[in-house]
Amino acid sequence: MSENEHVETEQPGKTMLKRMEQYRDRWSSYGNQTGIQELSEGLTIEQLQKLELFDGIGPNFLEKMLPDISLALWRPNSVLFEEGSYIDLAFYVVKGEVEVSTQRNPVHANAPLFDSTLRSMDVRAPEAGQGTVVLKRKQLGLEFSGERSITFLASMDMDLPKGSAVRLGPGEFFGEIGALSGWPQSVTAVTQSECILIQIRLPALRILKSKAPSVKAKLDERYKQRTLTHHLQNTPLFSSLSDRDVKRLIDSVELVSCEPGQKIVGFGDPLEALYLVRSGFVKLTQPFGSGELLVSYLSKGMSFGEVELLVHEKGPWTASAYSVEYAELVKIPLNVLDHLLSYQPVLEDKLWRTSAIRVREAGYSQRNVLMPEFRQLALDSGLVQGTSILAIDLNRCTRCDDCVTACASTHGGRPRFIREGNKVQNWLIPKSCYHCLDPVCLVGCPTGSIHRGGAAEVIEIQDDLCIGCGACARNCPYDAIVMHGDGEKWPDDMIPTGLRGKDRLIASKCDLCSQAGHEPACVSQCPQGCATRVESVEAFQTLLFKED
Amino acid sequence: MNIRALDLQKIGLTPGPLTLFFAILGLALISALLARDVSQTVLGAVTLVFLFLSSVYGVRRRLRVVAAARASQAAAWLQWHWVASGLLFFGFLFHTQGRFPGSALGFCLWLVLLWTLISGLLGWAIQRWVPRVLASLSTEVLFERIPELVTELSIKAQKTVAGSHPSLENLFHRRLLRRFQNINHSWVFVFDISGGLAKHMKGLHYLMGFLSGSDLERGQKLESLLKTKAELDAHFTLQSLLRNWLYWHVPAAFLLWALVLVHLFTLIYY
Repeated sequence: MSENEHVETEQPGKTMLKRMEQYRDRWSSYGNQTGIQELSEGLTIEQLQKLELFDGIGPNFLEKMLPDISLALWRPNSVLFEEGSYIDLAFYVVKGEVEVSTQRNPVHANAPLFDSTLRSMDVRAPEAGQGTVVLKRKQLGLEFSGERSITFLASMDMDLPKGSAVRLGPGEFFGEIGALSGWPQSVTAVTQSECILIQIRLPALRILKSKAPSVKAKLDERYKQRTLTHHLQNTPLFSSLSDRDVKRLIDSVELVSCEPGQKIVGFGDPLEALYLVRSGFVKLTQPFGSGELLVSYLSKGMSFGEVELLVHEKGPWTASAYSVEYAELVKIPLNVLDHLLSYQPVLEDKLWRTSAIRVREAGYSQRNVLMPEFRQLALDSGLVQGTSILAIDLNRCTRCDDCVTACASTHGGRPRFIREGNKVQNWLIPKSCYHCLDPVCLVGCPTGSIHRGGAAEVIEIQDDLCIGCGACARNCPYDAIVMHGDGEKWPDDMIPTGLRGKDRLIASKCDLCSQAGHEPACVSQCPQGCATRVESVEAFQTLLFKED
Repeated sequence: MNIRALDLQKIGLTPGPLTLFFAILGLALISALLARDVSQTVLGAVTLVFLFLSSVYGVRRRLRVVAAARASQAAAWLQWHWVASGLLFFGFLFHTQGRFPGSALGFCLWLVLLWTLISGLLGWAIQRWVPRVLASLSTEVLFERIPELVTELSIKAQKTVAGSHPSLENLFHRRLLRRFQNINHSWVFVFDISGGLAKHMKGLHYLMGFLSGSDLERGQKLESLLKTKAELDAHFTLQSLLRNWLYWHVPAAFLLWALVLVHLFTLIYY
């Protein structure tokens, strides 16, 4: 990488050579059809320390991050990522210019990292411009005018007006929110000139955020400035607030990042804030007998703390809150909320309504322990994420396996599920893809083979793009993706090199028969009509408890 | 008295096909009463149509690879199968004018038709009853995997008692091991879903009253394994029933077609 003045070369030893090979395999899996002209042979701690981005991070953590950081030279007019695509890395501009835009097709671009021409990519990230647009072009121009200073651009949450574009220069950082949250990108990023970019994958990104307070502070600050207004105004609780109130709120809130299973508040702790869930899931539990009973789980846009605030008049927490996997929260101090409530009766009314729901849920859970049991199962098995959950009524199922046979005949003799899974009362939930709201299986697919199809919720795999790396199968926490061989071997010029000569594997999962062009065969071919697709865990809950 | 409306869905029917069934039946009855001299050939032809319609479901199941078959609802086809089979019975009655057939071929046709219809009704009843019984069990298992799971369970049980109190080991090897080693395909599950588990566990329960510490834990684990094994046996027996009733129904249907073809041949030839 001759253009790179930050990276120096060194003579590698035997171990280093092996590491370099592994590193090349890891990063070259993006294939040679992308706009990458040259990829670094591996970076050293010293090289990273020279970059402003990694200031304040100790050598031990830098060493851990090394395999997940690369330096790439991109050709001009190369698409880094597109609207609606899922990526597991963020980009830091060292040299050159990148244009980010919304709903604009690059005409003279090289083959993109995730080639949209090879599949139907109708899905768009939440519409930019929907609700309040925060990031005005003019503001961006002002903010990005400073040279060499690090500017963080939250790609997912950047509210660019439709058809508009901004240019990002050296010192700018983008893509990290989509990578951290598993959300699709809301913009398309295209290199405008020959660009040197530092590419940081998710594991390194997490270390960067947790071990570099200065980076986290900058990320949070940018998020607050650019996108929190949009988030708050799209949250049912704060949708009625004026711009002035939202601004006041933003100035005083704290952004909290939680590790999986982290305790956010404990039962009996003094109440000091109301929490709003930005991403991930939070579960609320209450002491019950010698254990803890799950009374509710919260997802994006939901809040907790209103019961203690209103019903118990700022009493201690009546439930403990834990994050389920990684979660991001907005912490709203009590005094700020008090001030808002003093002249916002609509807000108080909404909080009372939410409180009533929480109290009712807690009461119902205490009376009917099957409900929390189901909720726990829903969290553990990923049902909460589901947008199309296959459920079989065992009271009517004659175990004929016609559902599986129909699936197999639709998919060339290979069924996409088996009639085994969790049993909840008289319902069986087979291990078939739930078509998650936040599909982590999409993150890290080096070729974009696994993607959202034409219909909004369908996640499908394009066989001819699948290189059988198994990333999606490993990422899927619910074992809904299986790898299988097709009798072929990888050619000798295959990249990644590690695959050469090995059996070719292909990932396979339920695609809701979208490619076959009819409704899911598992449902339509059940002669007893006992197989059904449920669009959410709430709908499934209704199905379960309607008989009570 | 609380009279609940008949839940058609619970018996696998929707109102459409059922209404049509009664409509056709009513029309057929009225036609038969009004036109006493309706040709037997016409009635026979109508009965043949019903036989054809009742057989289409089975053919369709085997032609699942055809896209058109995949696009339609299997449940609807099954309902039409029932309706057509019911109409076939009445068509046959009209065709034979309700008389017992005198010829050997007629007698065979009559017998095989009755056999097919009764085995179908039996299958319908099995399909309504067995799933509910199986759903009440805590486990759900694929029929093909039962032998493999039984082997696993047997190994687990032997490991559980290995090195435990001699009384427990003795009881296990003398009375319980054989229950773990083989699949117990017993008709007792048809009448008692627990398969008389309480009786088999009596000795173990008695012994557990004297056990303590790790031996008691082993006893409890063994109890749980026994329950699972009994459920696997129940699944095996009842799922076999769900599969095997078809052997009483489908070959009879083929035989019926063969006899009908012979009947048609004789009609044309003579």
